[in-house]
Amino acid sequence: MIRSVLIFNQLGKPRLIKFYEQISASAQQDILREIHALVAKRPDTLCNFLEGSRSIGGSDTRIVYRHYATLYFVFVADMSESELGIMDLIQVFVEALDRVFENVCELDLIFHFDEIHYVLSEVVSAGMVVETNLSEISRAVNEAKRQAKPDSSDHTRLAISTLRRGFV
Amino acid sequence: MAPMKGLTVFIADLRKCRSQEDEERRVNKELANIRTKFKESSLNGYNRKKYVCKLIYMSLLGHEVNIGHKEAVDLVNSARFSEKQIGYLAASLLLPESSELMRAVVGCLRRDMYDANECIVCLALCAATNVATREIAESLTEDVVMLLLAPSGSPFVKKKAALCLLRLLRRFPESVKARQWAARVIPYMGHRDIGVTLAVTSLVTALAQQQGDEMRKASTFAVRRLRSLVLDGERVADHMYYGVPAPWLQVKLLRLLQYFEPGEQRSELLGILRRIIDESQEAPRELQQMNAQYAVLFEAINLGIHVDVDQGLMHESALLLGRFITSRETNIRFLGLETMAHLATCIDSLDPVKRYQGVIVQSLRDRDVSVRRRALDLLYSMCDVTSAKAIVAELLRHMAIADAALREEMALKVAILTEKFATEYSWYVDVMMRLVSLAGDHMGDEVWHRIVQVILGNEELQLYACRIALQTLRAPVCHESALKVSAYVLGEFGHLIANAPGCAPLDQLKALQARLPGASLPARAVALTAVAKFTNLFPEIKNLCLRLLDRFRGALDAELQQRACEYYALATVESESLLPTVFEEMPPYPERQSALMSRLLSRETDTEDQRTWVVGGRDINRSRSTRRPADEDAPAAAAAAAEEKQETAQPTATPATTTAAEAAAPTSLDEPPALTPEEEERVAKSRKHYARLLWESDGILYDGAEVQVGMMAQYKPPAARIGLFLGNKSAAAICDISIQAETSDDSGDLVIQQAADQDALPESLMPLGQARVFFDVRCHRVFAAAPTLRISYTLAGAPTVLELQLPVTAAHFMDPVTISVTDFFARWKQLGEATIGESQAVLKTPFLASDADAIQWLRNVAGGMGFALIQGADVVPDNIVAVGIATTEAAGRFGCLMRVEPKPSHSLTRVTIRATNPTLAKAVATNISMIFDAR
Repeated sequence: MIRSVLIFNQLGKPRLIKFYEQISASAQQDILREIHALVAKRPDTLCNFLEGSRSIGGSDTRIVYRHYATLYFVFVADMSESELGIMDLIQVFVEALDRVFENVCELDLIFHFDEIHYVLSEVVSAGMVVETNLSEISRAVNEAKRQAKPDSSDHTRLAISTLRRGFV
Repeated sequence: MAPMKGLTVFIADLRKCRSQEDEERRVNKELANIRTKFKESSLNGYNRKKYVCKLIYMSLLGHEVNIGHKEAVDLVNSARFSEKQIGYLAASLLLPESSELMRAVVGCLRRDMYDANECIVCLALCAATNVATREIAESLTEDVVMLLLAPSGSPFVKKKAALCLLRLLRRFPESVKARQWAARVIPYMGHRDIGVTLAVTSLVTALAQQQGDEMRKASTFAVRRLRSLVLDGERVADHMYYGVPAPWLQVKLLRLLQYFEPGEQRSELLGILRRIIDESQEAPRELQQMNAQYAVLFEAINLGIHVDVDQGLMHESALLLGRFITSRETNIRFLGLETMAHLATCIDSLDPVKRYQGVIVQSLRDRDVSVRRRALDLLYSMCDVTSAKAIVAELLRHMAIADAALREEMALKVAILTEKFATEYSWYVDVMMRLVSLAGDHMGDEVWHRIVQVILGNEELQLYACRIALQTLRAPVCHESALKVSAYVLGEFGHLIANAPGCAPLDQLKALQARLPGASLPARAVALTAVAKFTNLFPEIKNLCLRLLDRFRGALDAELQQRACEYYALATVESESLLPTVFEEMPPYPERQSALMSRLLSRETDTEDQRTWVVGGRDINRSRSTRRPADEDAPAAAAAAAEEKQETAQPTATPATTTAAEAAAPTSLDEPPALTPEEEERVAKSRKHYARLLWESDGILYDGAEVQVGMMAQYKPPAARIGLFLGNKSAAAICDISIQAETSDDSGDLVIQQAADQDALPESLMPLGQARVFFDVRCHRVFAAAPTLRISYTLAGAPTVLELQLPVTAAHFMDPVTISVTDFFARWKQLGEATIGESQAVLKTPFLASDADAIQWLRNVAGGMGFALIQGADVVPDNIVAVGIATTEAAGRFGCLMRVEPKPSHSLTRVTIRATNPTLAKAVATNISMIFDAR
């Protein structure tokens, strides 16, 4: 399973912290700091996998990360996940963000930190992959976005079913 | 989210902060502001949402936020979607699980799960997944199952529901009653929507690990789906990923199948695997496609190893992997090495792997530490008798240049491999001495302890070891650990080489002495012991040794000083037999699992999903696979085990099988086999007495109509003194009294005899009179059964024999020790992985006036049993974490760790004991369950 999803920038400023296990807030920050220290010094030619220290889970965890411009996307997973699968999942997550924000950049993530959570919850839930199809993900996010608009509360009943009609 | 100006400004402000202090100030100001706003009654939904958003942002940056809980719940209750969304987000990020407000959130969840709007249902499912408290597991599982199984539900909801169940199942397996619905979710693995299939497969994978064979049907679905994806070219238009159909689903299915035995599907599976492997023969051009394709391939190889490791298919895979480990892509090298290590741990003939030994050794020099690590794991896994020398030599060569992070693990692995595959003694000693010299700084004491153990245990090794030890001491540089080993070895066996040129006692002493000035305190302490042993070993240099010891009598360090003083005193006592006895050669250590192994295995931690293999040789993986199906955490299993334990622990519970010797209850000789109610009551009472004495040092052991037996115990592990008091309750005198204690077997593990200097028992005992007798008890080794006490007397001409079990168990020889919290958990984990001495029981918590009383009682029991309680170790304050150490005369000391986890809501208590000795763990567990039972 995926234990946590972290996004931080090169300086280690957190942009998203999501844990799928019960871990105290301070421990979460410690883990983020530790992973940042590990990841930030690695040049891009090295592999995208790292082994976690004891506090993260030791040799039974894989830190799978990708580096995009100023940001690091890190998924910490246990041994039951395919490393390459997670690599691709990060790509899917980033592309989904890209669709939702239209050319996503770090500022989007800062000012819309809540939406990152919503997008992520369409990709990963309970530490497992929910969906990998980009159009499906962005449709779900956009639908929720539409619902959140102040004047839309009455149209909601049909919303997803109409949305899905052409698809199933 | 519609933009909220206040929030945007706040975030922008924080971004402008130059220093951490600035940021801190800004956050505190805002917190103060929010606090006052929250107190106002006129707070509207928009503002509430805005402030809660600010709080979430602060907590993201790592600031402590403990307000806004009530507001989060208010938002959850809101009719507006956007407010509800933020509310649930805040509930999962800010609200502590233990909060009273959680109940209100659960109420909302229940309502929202039945909302007509699917978006809200999904929101609720997501929130339930994130929060996943016990209450949700207990009260909402059925609703979530409904949402998953409802025929009309949309894939959107089904996916979320499946994963919500997964999360609840993992956190509270005992609350979700998986048996009731597990079989019904399997067919959804055939759902036409790939997302649903994927989510359900994840759920089924977790169920398969918990329920085992009941989920077998899932493998049929998995194979069918794989066949359609791989062989039949199923059209999954929306889920093609760079030309690979639904790679995530394929990976998941391939992984799921590794939890089942292949059975009759073997040949079909092999066909599918062959196709996957064949298709990967040509390297894909595009990087993204390669990722997806190889993700499937690596999992296919893993499954292939599980299904049929010694087939031709795996030889082909080995070839493919051989190509991968030289790939230009670092990721592929990494995964190639990792998968090859898996192959090496399972395959019968290592030849296909050994062919790449050179390349793998090269990978130890890879520029990426992650790859280097995998190469080390692989070398460790592929090592056997024939390749051991070459591999160990390579590892030693790399040790000098390896990064510090890797060195410790490398040292550990070299030590294990050398011991495991040594065919010549000289090789073992050479390698180990080089190892401690090279990597001494990077390894724990386990390594040098183990070397000494091995040398002591193998006579053939000792002569050579002495020679090398002396050489090591004389070398220009001698590492601290090498010094310790050398000193120890010479102290024990120095006489073996004393006649060789240059190795005379004086030379040995000089070599040792020359090392002392620069050595650390612990090393000097070991050296002092060696010198003390020399006084016995070599009378010719006794005076020199004494002079050396004398110098240290004034050492500043207390330990050194004490050792020197004691050794000096011992050596100068006028007694012919004292020295040879005290400084006798150490006996070989009893065979036990190498501490190195447990150290290495302790690196493995509990994951939510079980590993299908571990790094290491084949033997270790085979022994794993035998215990894999048993899920240690499954409550059903634990409960069953507890039942079993209770049965064995209380033979008296079933009167028919009661035999005099093993009964805790007294039985008179002429007693009819069936027990009258009165006697039954006495049996119960007697068990109570017995149980009480398991954690209290004195009290009543037996209280009958005629006599009463009291007991007083004083423990100085490994010895003890037990005083027994026989009181006459009858109206007449009793005579012919005899009180005897005997052990349950003749193993000599426990010695119990009447104390030497005491008054003989009186010939007769008047009414209300009391006779007493003392027993000396010595615990030689850990013993399994308590001794029996036989009391016979004649009252009014009728002879009576009482047989009582004496509450003296291995667990009694325990002293409390205090260790740090981190140490405790390190050892706890280490012992847990080794699984040599774990006992667990789920017991009914005794009914006391309040939960707090019950907890206090638990603490008293643990303390009374000789455990030291470690305060504040467990996140749950009521849990008890305790450590004791049992001392035996011959077998040494055994650590015993205990965790007691009371669950007041179920009035159950789980007790887990891990000890370095299985019998001890069992004894403690048995005692505890008796104590519980009697309460």
